[in-house]
Formats: sequence, C-alpha cells, structure tokens
Amino acid sequence: MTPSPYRLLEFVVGTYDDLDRPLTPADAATRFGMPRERADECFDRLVECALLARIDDGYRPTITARELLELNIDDEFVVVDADLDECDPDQQ
Amino acid sequence: MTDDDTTVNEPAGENDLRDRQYGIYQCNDCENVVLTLQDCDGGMTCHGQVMERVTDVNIDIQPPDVKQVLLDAFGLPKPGLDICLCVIGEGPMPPADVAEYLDYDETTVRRYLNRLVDIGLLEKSQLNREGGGFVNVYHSIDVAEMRRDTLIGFYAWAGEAAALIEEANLTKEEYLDEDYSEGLNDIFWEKFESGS
Repeated sequence: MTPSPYRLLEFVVGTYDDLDRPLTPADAATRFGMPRERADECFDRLVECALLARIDDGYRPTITARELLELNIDDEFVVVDADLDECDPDQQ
Repeated sequence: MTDDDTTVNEPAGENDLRDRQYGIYQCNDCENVVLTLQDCDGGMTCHGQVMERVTDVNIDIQPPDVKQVLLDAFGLPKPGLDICLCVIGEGPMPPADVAEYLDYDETTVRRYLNRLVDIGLLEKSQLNREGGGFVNVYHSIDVAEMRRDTLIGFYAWAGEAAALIEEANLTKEEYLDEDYSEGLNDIFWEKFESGS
C-alpha cells in the first residue's frame, strides 16, 4: 500500500533518528512496497515543502518536519506553504 | 404517538418525509417546529409533550445542491471545496502543486486556504524554517470537531433563514391588516433590502 506523504515523512524522521544516516526514496520504496517513481515524487514534494533537505547521498528531515509532526495534527489535509514570498503580506 | 395523530393524506414522492435521514417535528399545542438528525428515545418533546413527526411537506422543495449549500451557508465557493478534495490524503502538498492539479493560480489557492481558515474548516500554524523565517501550514481540525462545527454552523444558518421566512410571512400579515397605498411587493422589498 502506498502511504501518504505524511506517513512517509514520519518514516523518514523515525528511521533517520534510529539509523543516524540519510534516507533515500529507495529506502521508502522497499519499506512500503511502493513504486520507486512514487517514492521519488513524494520526496521531491517534501523537499518543496521544506520538510526534507538533500544532503550528500540522500535526504534528512528538517526542523520544520519535526515541528510539523509535533503538532500531532489530523493528517487528512496538510498544505505547507514554504514560498512565503508569494504570500499576501497581510496573511503573513 | 398514535395513528390518529398522523396526517390523514398519504404523502408520496419527494413530499414524503417519513423515510428521511432527518426528522421534522411539530408541537400540536403551539407553533413550534424542530429539525433533528437524531431522534431522542421517545421522540422530541415541547413543554413536556411529545411532538408529532411531520410526514409530508405541502410546498414543493428543490433538492439542495452541495455547492450552493456550502456557498450560501459558509460563503465557501467551489474552488475551496476543490482544494479540500484535492489535498485530502495527499498531503503535505505545496500550494504550487495544488494550483497545478486544479489549474488555478497559486494566489487563488492561497486565498481560498485562508478563506477555509476564516470559516473554521482549517487551522493555520507557523513553523520555523531552517536558515531563518517560517512556513505556513494549513491543516485539518479534528474530524469530530469539524463535523459538529459544520452541523451547528449550518443549523445557525438555517435558523437565520427560517427567521427571514417567518418575518416575510409577518410582513404579509401586517400588510393585510394595514391600509397601505403601495403594493405588497414594494413594502416587502423595502423592508428586506433596508435590513440587509
């Protein structure tokens, strides 16, 4: 079953902390039995949301990702706007 | 409630209210009418008396359209609903991806995200961003809370609508009781447009 990007983010944070090494889309594809292409898309999306950062040979979770998971929110609907230059100044 | 309490005429088709998800009850002692989605054991009561379930409606009603209901009751146009349906189960998503999927402008997506926050269907949180600054996160509120809030919100809207209809009926009564030189339509619109 393909997990939601939110569940995948939980996996990346947990595994990164356990193994102390960067994660790759291949790790997620293996763990969840999901197509590699879908894992690539999810990682790219999480980078766009400033939740993952690319490092040498993989990805690591950002402080933003940790803060997002700490919110303990209902994960049904999550939009992350990291491009605040595009925002209405009144909304910032 | 006995068979004698029910309406004599057999309702049919869309006017038949007997097998609906909701129930409408009327008091036989006063003019109170209530709407409920969940009957209490023993039925609804008004000043201690069991109310009669209304089994048919004498006026033709149009089936509600969900887009129009959301727009009228919550001021939520279709793009707001589209955004919800696009993101559910797919997040976290950036606004750019939502905009691309729905073929909307990014500013439109942001405007409706903030509208959904204003309505109370989403919460907005600010998180720290590495390297400085912050990001905005739009996320669902608790599902049970959202269900309750939307139902109560809709009931409040329906109550306002019912009060308007009641006021319209009173306006007609008042017109018939008085000796106006203007037509009823002039009196009617003058009353409601000045109040809006």
